[in-house]
Amino acid sequence: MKRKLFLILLLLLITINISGCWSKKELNEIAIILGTGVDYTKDNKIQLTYQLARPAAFGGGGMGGGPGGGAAMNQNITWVVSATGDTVFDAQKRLAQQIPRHLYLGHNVVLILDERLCRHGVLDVINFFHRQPLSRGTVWVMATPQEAKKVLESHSELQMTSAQAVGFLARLRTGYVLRFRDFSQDLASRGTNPVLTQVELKRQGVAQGPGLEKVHHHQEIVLTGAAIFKGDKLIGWLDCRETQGLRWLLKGEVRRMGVTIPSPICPGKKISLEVMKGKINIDPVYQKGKIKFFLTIKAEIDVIEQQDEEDFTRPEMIKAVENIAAAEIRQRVKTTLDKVQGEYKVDSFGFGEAFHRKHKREWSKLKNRWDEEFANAQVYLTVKVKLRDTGLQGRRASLKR
Amino acid sequence: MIYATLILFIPQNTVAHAKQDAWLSFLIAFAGGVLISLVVINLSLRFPGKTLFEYLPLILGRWPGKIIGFFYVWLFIHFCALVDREYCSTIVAAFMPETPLVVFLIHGTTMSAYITYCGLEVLARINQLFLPLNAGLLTILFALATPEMKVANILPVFDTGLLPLVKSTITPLSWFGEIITLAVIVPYLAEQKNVYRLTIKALFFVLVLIEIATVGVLLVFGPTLTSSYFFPVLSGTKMINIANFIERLEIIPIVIWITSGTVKGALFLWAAALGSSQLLGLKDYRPLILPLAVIVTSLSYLLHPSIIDLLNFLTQTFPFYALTFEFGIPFLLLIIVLIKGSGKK
Repeated sequence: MKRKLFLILLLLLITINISGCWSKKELNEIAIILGTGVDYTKDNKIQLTYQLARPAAFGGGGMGGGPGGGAAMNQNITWVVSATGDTVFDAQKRLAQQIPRHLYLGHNVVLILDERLCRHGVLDVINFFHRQPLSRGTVWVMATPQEAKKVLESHSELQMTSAQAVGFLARLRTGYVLRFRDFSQDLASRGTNPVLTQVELKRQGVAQGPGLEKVHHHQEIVLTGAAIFKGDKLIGWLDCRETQGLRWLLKGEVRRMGVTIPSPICPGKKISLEVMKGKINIDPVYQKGKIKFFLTIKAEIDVIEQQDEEDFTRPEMIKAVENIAAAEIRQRVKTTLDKVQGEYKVDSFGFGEAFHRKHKREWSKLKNRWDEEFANAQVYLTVKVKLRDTGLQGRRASLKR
Repeated sequence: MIYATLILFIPQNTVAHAKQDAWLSFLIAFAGGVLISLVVINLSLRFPGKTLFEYLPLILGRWPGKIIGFFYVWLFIHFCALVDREYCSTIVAAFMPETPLVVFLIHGTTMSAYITYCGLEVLARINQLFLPLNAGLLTILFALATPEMKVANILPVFDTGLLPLVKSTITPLSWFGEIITLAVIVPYLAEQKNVYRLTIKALFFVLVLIEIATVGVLLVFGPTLTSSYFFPVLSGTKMINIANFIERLEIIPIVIWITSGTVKGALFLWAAALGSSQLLGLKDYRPLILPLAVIVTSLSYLLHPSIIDLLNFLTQTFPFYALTFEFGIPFLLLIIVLIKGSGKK
């Protein structure tokens, strides 16, 4: 009898526990944040913008399956809301008063910071994204010269939302991109300075199709370069071309980058190459108080397109293309290096960390004024290019011989 | 019966001192752990079939031995409370901030108490079940995190110098020192002859697990970020994203923490219960489990007002306090035994 009673009690206890409904947040009670934007307003406040998914619009598109490609045409698939406050959390609490659900940061894709904030210093706002248990280090961090709120108030033609679209753009490594974890690491390191992706809202194509005649200008978020920081403050931008040089200087960031070079034999004609593998080796040398960096870039490239008539089955031709490609890559890297090292005078490439790894004794003396030391350092550059493949052809077809 | 103390918690305070060389300090701590276990086993083998609480009076005399014995009972209660508090606080801080801590504590201690009630064999069997699971999960976890790892993060080696390295060793050493529980377990082991070998094997296994976690986390975050996180392993797990498909694996560290925490708590609870029954001259330790479990629950709730306080205690006070019992007293006992020549050779 006693045993039975005990068992019944136990069962009751288990029932209570197994339901596990204490801190529950049901799916239909949360507002999923896809994109976050932070602006620094003119009166020195923080403006927080969230791009929230509207599941109703998502579901309508999928299940309806009717003509017109879903609900995105007729209703907003996202809801962009913003509020200002003294801190990010302060702003979020103000937002929470307008949104009838729990804000859920776990699916955030991008964090976009505007130029004013970046110039003021990002340390003021990023702590929230560290402390918050729900936010992740995999979020893409980007800077924009426009207003972050405006950038998020956009939509994508191909993806469900513009935040997801820019996330996919980043995953494809079409430009220089950086995640929150790496951004935090760069901020915390004395041997490097963070570089953020630059994004802008740009007019992309003309809307087509019935009923869309009035929509002329479709704007999409695009990657347009990089933002150079000194410490936590923005000091300048790099354009697309300079960003390519930057990607060479940062390890393993060049895969599938295009390089177009002039033809070795035919003036005015071009050859396009695709980088299949790229590596940079940084060799810091410290001699009599002078810092020197010997950089060796090794690249494997494929020929993708040629305008001239040369025959790639000839070994001399391969050699010539390799040399010109090396010179071209060298030129690009040099441009970026000159701009960042010469004009902005910061180490954005992690050279300081490479120096630290090799000369740890000297590093402790130099680390507090590394950027100044770096600005005076000499950089020697060697580029070695190997032509790996020439696509499906050795020499061109459609030529009269 | 092989037993491994699971010390799978937070390798973060060590990183604050040793920076990227934290993995080295765990190696040193392992050596210290081996030394402690050698002392403890040597003592136990000198008094075959007797636990720490039984041979303490034999060495020190009746009353002093009992008093020291009660200190050890307290130590095991405290260990148990700390272990429960550690993993419960993790859940509250990282996942369910609205749920009161005491809810998790009651659940954890109830489980531990039930295991203890079933006896040492059940405890060992449960560990047999969970240990491979946890080791496997941990390995898989960090294998999945390899795309996020950068070797440069743990270079250069020996950057901070010797003193910070030694400083950083103390906390992990006190964790390895929890092997002191062997002083209670050894009489119950089936293979008395292989105790040394088994213990060192078990310690080595623990070392491997800890190194996987430490090196893994360091490779993912580098020293600065690692030392800023309360739960680096958890934050490391959040970085895993393979093909936008395998991600959000936070449940894995939680499974590891809860299972290993329960078993570890049960072990200390068992040691405390057995110890107090032997000191008081009771035949059975089971009636003591319930009151002890209640003490443990309230103790772990009341000891620390916040997780920061807990971590400060664990890194600043705990090592010296624990090492006194883990190393100081057993070492002194061994010396006394050697001088007096009591016990079996």
